[in-house]
Amino acid sequence: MRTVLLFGVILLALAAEAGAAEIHGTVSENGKPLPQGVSLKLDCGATSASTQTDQFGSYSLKVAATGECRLSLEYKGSKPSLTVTLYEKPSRYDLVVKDEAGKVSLGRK
Amino acid sequence: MSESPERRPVRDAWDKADIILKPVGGLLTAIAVAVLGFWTSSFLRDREAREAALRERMQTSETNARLYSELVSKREESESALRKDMFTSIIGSFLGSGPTTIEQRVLNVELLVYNFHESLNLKPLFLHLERQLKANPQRAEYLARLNRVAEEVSKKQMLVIEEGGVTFDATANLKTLSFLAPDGASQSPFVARELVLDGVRRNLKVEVLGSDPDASQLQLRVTVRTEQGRGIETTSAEFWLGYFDFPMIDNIRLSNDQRLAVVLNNFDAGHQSADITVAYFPGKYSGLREKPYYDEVLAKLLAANRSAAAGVETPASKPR
Repeated sequence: MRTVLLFGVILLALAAEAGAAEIHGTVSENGKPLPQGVSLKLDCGATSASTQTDQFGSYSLKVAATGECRLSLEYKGSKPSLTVTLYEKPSRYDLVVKDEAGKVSLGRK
Repeated sequence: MSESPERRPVRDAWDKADIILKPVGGLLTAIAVAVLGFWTSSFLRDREAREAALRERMQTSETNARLYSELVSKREESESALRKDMFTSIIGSFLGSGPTTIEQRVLNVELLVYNFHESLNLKPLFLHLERQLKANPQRAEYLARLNRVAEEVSKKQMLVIEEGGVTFDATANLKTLSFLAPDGASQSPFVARELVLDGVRRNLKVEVLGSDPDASQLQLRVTVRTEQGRGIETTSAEFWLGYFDFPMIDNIRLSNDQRLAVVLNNFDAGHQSADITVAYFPGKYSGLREKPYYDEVLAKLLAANRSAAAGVETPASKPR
């Protein structure tokens, strides 16, 4: 029984590794990168991942899923989001934050 | 007979000074002439020495420049000869009748792509090898190698292009033949952007016409509208885009020596989705395969001359 369980765990780990997808890029506002520490979250149904922007406004997220996911960030008290598509190969999404009359929106560059 | 004693003239200080200074004056003149002569000849000697040193420096630098250019041209010649030999032997392995293994052919494609990706359109070779791999038991491994090399070269070329051009990314839905809007919330039948490069404003529109999941390719139509004087110039092209289309080589030629290329970043047959990058860049970043149009070269030279002349005339024409 223990061997079967161990085998199952190994298989699950391998499956997760095989299906791991990455999304990366930069986040900017008015042509300037966002400050370090802005939180980003990627929701792909059952699986999700979180990260923060670095000092250059860059981010990278990896999840064990491909297809359409929802990417959101917490900025200026808002949580704008957009639909992104993840592939087996890494996808680059350079994002632009727009603050129009207090309404913060997120889009692809 | 008595002689009256000769009366000695009375000399004042000026007369005495005159007596003393007459011979001294001659001496001083001689000394002044000698000093002036020495100074002049020394000045001339110094100037000659300086000029000789300058001439020598210029000659040395000219010799160095000549030597450097000779070395560079010789190195380029030997490099060209080496590349020619390499190209002939690699391409011979594809076109010749001798037996070669798939491993050798994949290796040869890798060598060609890494060394000649800026000069040759190697898409036919990739597709040829892909067709040959269909019945191979190690197909997946070799295809992964081909895709990896294509991806690396595309990324390398895009890094160069992004330095001087403008780009944008878009995600295509191959099921609905539409694009995900930049806000990621809605679908649009096309993606359109207004881009400016070197003062030329163009409107770019990209549409998905179809897809081939087996070949990981999508069919696109790109329409470019440019304001030219009072009219609008429209350029349109339809093509299939795959992983083996490299932006420096496979691009659309636009007016003003500019280019437009589309790169396939990702293709997911399962989710029926593809990610592309559209690059609008100056012609100098395109590959060496294309020869320049003479009228474009002339127009560039004339524009450069005009701007140089304007630069010279501007300060002089300023009111004083």
